[in-house]
Amino acid sequence: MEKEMISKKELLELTGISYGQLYRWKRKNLIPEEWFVKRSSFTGQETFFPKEKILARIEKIIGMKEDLSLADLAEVFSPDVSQIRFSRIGILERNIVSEYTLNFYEEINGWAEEYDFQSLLNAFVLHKLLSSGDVNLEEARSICKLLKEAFEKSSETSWTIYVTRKLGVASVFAIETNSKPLFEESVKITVKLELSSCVEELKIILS
Amino acid sequence: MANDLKVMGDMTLPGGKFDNIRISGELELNGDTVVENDVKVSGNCQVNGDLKTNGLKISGRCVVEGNLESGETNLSGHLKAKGDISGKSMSVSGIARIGGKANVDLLTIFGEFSTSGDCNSEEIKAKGVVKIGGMLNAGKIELKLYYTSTIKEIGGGSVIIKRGGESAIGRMFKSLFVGSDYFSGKVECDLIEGDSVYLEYVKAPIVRGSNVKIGPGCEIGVVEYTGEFYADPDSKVDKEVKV
Repeated sequence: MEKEMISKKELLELTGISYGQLYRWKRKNLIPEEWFVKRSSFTGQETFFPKEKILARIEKIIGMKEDLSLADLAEVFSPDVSQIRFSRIGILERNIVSEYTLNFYEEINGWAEEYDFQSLLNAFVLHKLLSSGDVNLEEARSICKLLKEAFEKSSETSWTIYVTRKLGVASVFAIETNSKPLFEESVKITVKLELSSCVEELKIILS
Repeated sequence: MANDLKVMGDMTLPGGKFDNIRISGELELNGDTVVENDVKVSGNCQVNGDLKTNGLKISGRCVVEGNLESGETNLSGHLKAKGDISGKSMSVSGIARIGGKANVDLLTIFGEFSTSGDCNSEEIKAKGVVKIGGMLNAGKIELKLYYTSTIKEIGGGSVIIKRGGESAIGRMFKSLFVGSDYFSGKVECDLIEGDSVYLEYVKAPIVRGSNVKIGPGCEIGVVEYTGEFYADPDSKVDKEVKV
């Protein structure tokens, strides 16, 4: 499951950005260091990026550049989340998750007046998956519990959620994002969701 | 009431939180230390742990076993940090050796500066010897270097590397280094990429940029440029490609 990569050269040509810009965004952590992948090539060492991710990120940076300072942008993309609390009423008013999803989440975790970022993220992920119809209620319940456990182990940005189905039986996995799991041929992957992009999405909605 | 620490003579203390630290003599702090305002050293200071301060002024020697976080650093003498350093500005007149990486917005060096990791700055101006084990990523790079300088990779906006001259100060540096080719060696880099690049006496296999100007004394493998390219007849460029 190799993702398509794009060389630095091609990237600059395609997007029209300069070396100075690329390096400045790297300094400001707008482009994560891990995305700079060094590979040996015909001309020596060349740097490659995950194509989809980098193009999307650059589009976002350019799009938001006018409104936010680089430091603000870094806040949006940074994996660190501060101690913010969200009220239940606020979440529903702003339509971040549907009431249905919130009730569903609370059935498993108990009612709460306030949500911290990770719980909100958990509910947000459920909201996405339930609305899209990619998972059924049983799978959603498993995902909810698994996410809670995963967040306790490590930050929300290091996980990718997989839902697989084989012979009608579904399983849910939380796998470290940089791993490349190998599934049997007969296994169908119904959901592959990178939490880091959910975090970004959620942050943009909240900002 | 301010928690100021004033040391005259020799002292060893546990680390901790202070408002100001003034040393005229020798101070050893055993533990992480946080200073609200400034640390002023006239003599010797050793922190066995991390040091976080608003300002650091050294006339003498300062060793930090851990990481150094200092808003504004003024060094006249010797600074050694085994971990990472970060701050808004650092001015080095002497020798600064960093074990980890450096994230300093404005870096001014007169003397020797070395890191084993990356160096990230908005602007770096150096005259002397620079050794960077990782990548030098800076918006504006202006270096006047002597040959024992090696920078693994350079990336940024404007990159200017020249050779330090044979001035009196240059000769002073030479006396500190063995080897007659101190003034005649070349700065070595694996890769240089920038918007505008000007190089003198640099040896690099790959140079990429919008506008690349190769001055005298260079040995370059491949130059890839998008805008303008010029190479001094004195230099060797194996291949130039307009991309």
